[in-house]
Amino acid sequence: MKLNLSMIGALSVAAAGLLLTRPFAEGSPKPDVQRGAGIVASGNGYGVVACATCHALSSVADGSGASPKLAGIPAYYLAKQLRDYASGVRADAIMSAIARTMKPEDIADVSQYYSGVRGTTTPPPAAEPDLLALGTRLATVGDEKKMIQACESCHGREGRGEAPAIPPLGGQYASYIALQMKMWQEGDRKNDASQQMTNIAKRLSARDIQAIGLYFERIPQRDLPKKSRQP
Amino acid sequence: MTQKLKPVDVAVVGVGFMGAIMAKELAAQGLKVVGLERGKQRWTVPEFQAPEIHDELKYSIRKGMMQDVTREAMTFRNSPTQEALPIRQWEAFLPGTDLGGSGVHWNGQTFRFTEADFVWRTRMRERYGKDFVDPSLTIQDWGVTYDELEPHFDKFEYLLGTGGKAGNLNGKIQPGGNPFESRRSREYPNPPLKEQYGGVLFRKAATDMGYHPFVQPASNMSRPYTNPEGLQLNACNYCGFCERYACEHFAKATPQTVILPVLLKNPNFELRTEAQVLRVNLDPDKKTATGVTYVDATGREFVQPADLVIITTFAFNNARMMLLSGIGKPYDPKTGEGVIGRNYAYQTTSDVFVFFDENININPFMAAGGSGTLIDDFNDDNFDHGPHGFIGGSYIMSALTNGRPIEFHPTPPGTPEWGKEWKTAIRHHYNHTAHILIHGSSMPTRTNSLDLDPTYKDAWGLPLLRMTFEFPHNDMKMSQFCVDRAVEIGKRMGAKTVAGYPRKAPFTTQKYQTTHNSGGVIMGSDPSTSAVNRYLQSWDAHNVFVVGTSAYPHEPGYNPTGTLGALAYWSVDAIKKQYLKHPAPMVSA
Repeated sequence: MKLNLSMIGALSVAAAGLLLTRPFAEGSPKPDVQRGAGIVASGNGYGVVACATCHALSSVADGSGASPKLAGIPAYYLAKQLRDYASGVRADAIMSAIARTMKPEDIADVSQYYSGVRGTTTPPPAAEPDLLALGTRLATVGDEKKMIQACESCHGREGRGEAPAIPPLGGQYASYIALQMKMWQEGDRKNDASQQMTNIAKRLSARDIQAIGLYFERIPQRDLPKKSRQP
Repeated sequence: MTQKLKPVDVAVVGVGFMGAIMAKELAAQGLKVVGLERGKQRWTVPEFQAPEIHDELKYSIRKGMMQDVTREAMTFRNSPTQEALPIRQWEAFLPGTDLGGSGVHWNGQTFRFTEADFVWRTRMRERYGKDFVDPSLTIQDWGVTYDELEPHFDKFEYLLGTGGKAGNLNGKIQPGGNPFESRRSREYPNPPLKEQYGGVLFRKAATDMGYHPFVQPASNMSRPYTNPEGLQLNACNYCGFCERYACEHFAKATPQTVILPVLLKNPNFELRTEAQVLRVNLDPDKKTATGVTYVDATGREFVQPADLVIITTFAFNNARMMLLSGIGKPYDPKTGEGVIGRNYAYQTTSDVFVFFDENININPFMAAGGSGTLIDDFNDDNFDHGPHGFIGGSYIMSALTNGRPIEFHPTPPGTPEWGKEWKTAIRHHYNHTAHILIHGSSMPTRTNSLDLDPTYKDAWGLPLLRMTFEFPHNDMKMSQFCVDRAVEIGKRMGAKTVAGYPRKAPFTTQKYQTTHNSGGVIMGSDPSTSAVNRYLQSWDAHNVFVVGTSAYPHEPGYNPTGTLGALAYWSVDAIKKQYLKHPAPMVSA
């Protein structure tokens, strides 16, 4: 895959400006976006394959939904997920093996890279109106009977996320969201200390989960405000 | 035209925490229960969802969840010689309205009063002699004991999912808990909340000084919890929008999360919202109530006959309902006679601010309503008052309930109150300031009382309640003593500047202190000095029960809700076991 160097260069300048206000990096070296871009494009040479193989440089990925879009997700969140893959609290056959070979600076640099990428809108899958209405209601209003709060209570309006710890969901693949909810439900994913996601997922039906995914995928990717993109 | 409705067994006036508990227990007995709530229905979904619920201007500043003062205010004066004027905006205290009442916007701090509190007068005389207590303080025993209430405290804490660490399990002192608490029969249902950084510094300092710090018991869930009613709550995520707000996460114990869904499923219960109860109706002989009169949202008036009337309308509103209904002799501060309106008390809160250098980050925004690390060494009768010349005390707690931008901007003494220097100071201190709350007792006096205002009326033409209140000298002395202790701790925490603000007269309704109002319909064993007996049953009309902090003969230095829940369960237990079989006074006068 050919690297678009001019794009990465521009991004690294933008990201470097933001580094000055990173409260979570105190005491640790500043992430190197350019190095991150290199790992994304060609791997680290000692175990990490090019992230772009599955997540693409722009993180549009292959569209299957198996690999999530990573663009604009806060670096803090991405880095935590990589550490959780490595430790196994978020276990995944592919990602855990990769994350275990990553050095702390690899994690920091790659996370910093993807957090600064502008997302790309992909055509959303067709959805029947009832299902979409259900997803919209659960995501924006919640359900009193099931004791489920609106997804957007934490994940922000139009799923923009709440940096640094709560990931954006707007524009994410429906099938990826559904897979994660299923993993929360069945206890395969357990890296939320408050168990908020586990408890919510357990109260959702398969149809609810499908509906929530469809709602979020339809939200166009936009240039997220800088403060929500960066911690 | 007043419409007379079909009689029911029980009319509950006000559907907040206590109303919901009383109604749930009685409906489960097979009784037909009607709950009359002046406000509207509201639920976690959709009314409490974020981001709307985090509107600081609407809820903190404009008091979006509080009793509507344009329809139902109260008047206030500091002394009987003044003319009372209506409170046009709530500030010192914040009585809630709508379904769930103040139980929706509370912080979740859940304490038990101690053995000593329930026999306060006896205890003070026994320990300090009969001349020690300032004779202007009208303290009394409560007519009930801690041991009698213990199972009911336990029941309420398990209903709420309170998190904490026991300090006294069946008489055995437990490390990590509050060694001064009275005996509890088992652990809290949940572990304590996480400590804030200010709390960690406080704990270290207090331990070094020989005190006994512990984490505040709180009903913001420290982990996911299913209560005995089968309702599930989520873990709190410390968002800093608890008090004055509702929780969007099902993570704070409120009537909506811990009991109302169960109550509403019972077909014996009917909820009527926007039902403004004007009075409890009495038989001509005034010995029993016949039901209540209320007005609905369209202005139609109804009479709801009921065999049993339970008044749960918030502390001072309970006193007003009794006065408007003519139940019990109104209290007269001139003669000291009468019972309704007697022993109004508040809470004597004071503050200490601990200003650190910029290398210490406090992160005030990471807070649950019940976050706090405290000592109980100078509260209640936990220390010898002999040398100090006052009774009562305070807990001293490092606590920040929020770092909300409009409300939270601590600045050290000497900072201008506006302008560039003020703004610079806020930026400088926002994240580097700890707060120590001194949460003190309030002793009743002969003049601190409630009655009906002679001038001002509400939207239905009924007289407003008039509050007469000033801080007694005893309580200001207590405040100064406890602030001095807190300042010592603050200095030990490594602060650059410590500013203490002891409570001083005059009491003002224009500065927030706490919503812990109490008294006015107090419990006791003598009908000439109390309005309700030990079961919260009116001495005058035996089928009227008044459940609220209105029953407290004085306000100890702990948050009142835990004890109120225990009293509600204690009262309804007596109704179930004794009153329903034999509807008559349960204590002979």
